[in-house]
Amino acid sequence: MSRPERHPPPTAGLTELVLSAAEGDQAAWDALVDRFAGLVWSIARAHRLSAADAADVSQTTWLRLVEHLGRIRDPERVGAWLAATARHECLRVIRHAGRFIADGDVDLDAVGTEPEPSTLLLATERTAALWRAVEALPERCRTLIRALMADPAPSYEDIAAAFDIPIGSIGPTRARCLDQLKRRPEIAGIS
Amino acid sequence: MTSDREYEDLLAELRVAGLVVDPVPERVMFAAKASLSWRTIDAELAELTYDSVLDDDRLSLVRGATAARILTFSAGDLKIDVEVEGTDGELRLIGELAPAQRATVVVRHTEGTTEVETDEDGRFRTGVFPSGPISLSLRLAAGGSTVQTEWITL
Repeated sequence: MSRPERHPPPTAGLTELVLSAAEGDQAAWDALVDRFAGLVWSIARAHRLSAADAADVSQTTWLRLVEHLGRIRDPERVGAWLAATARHECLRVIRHAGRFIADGDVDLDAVGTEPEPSTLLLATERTAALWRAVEALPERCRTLIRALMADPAPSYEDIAAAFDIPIGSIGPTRARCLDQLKRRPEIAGIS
Repeated sequence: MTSDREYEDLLAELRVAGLVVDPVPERVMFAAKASLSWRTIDAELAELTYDSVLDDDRLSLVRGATAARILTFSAGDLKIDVEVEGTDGELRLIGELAPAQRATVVVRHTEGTTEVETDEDGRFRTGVFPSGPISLSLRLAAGGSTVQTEWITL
């Protein structure tokens, strides 16, 4: 399987897009959404938000960018800005939901990101197995891998902003988590 | 030893799995693109400076109780304190401006807007709106300037 090469480098022309969108240019805005909607969605789902909550967090994140368009200090890093904003909104939603659980702990399993059974039926055996294997990873690995699965592929800088971790730690953690993934029984013998 | 190339290939395969099993829903893409229509110029931005959800001290005091969520937005000397009333789907805000002053308060939400006037003490109680992203837009009676709060998910 070859690497997808259809996307431009993650930082190409971002300053131009942000400045044009700040002037009300819908095409520039659409291009920003096309570039980063997958990242914002993946971050919300990596935090195990339900589809409804992930949709709200996504919408809030984009509305925040609208109000900040003319105020972003470094437009070239708009992906990292979106990632950090999405993470903060996720944490708010998780903590707010935690309020309504008697012991005050956040019950991550209660929300879950289980896909519709029909979706998995449509997927090939290998695709469904890969998904289940990711879901079965230890939490830290599952979270990172789910975010890295965003389409278009996110930059390490954006992922670092999404989890507030050093950029240098992403490569080694990614390798460790993918090694674990390859050993998962869900994908053993399915190629 | 696994090569970088092999990791990239596996991730590319996972990316395809993500697109099949958990893609960005179309309505989410649509809403994201439509959000540019909320762009305003010449409004001052009031930043969210307090959210009781992120307040560990308060959280430990009220754990188990169904305490209302409290938010504060600030723009310069203006403070907007609000308390969120209601449950999922039907929310309203009880709020107060400091310094006290008259203003028109517009709740901007995903299904439109709902508008209310403050009393002379700067207090207001909004109509109901659905849960989801909201922002307040305030037209201050004195001076006629507009202040908008950051968007937040309620």
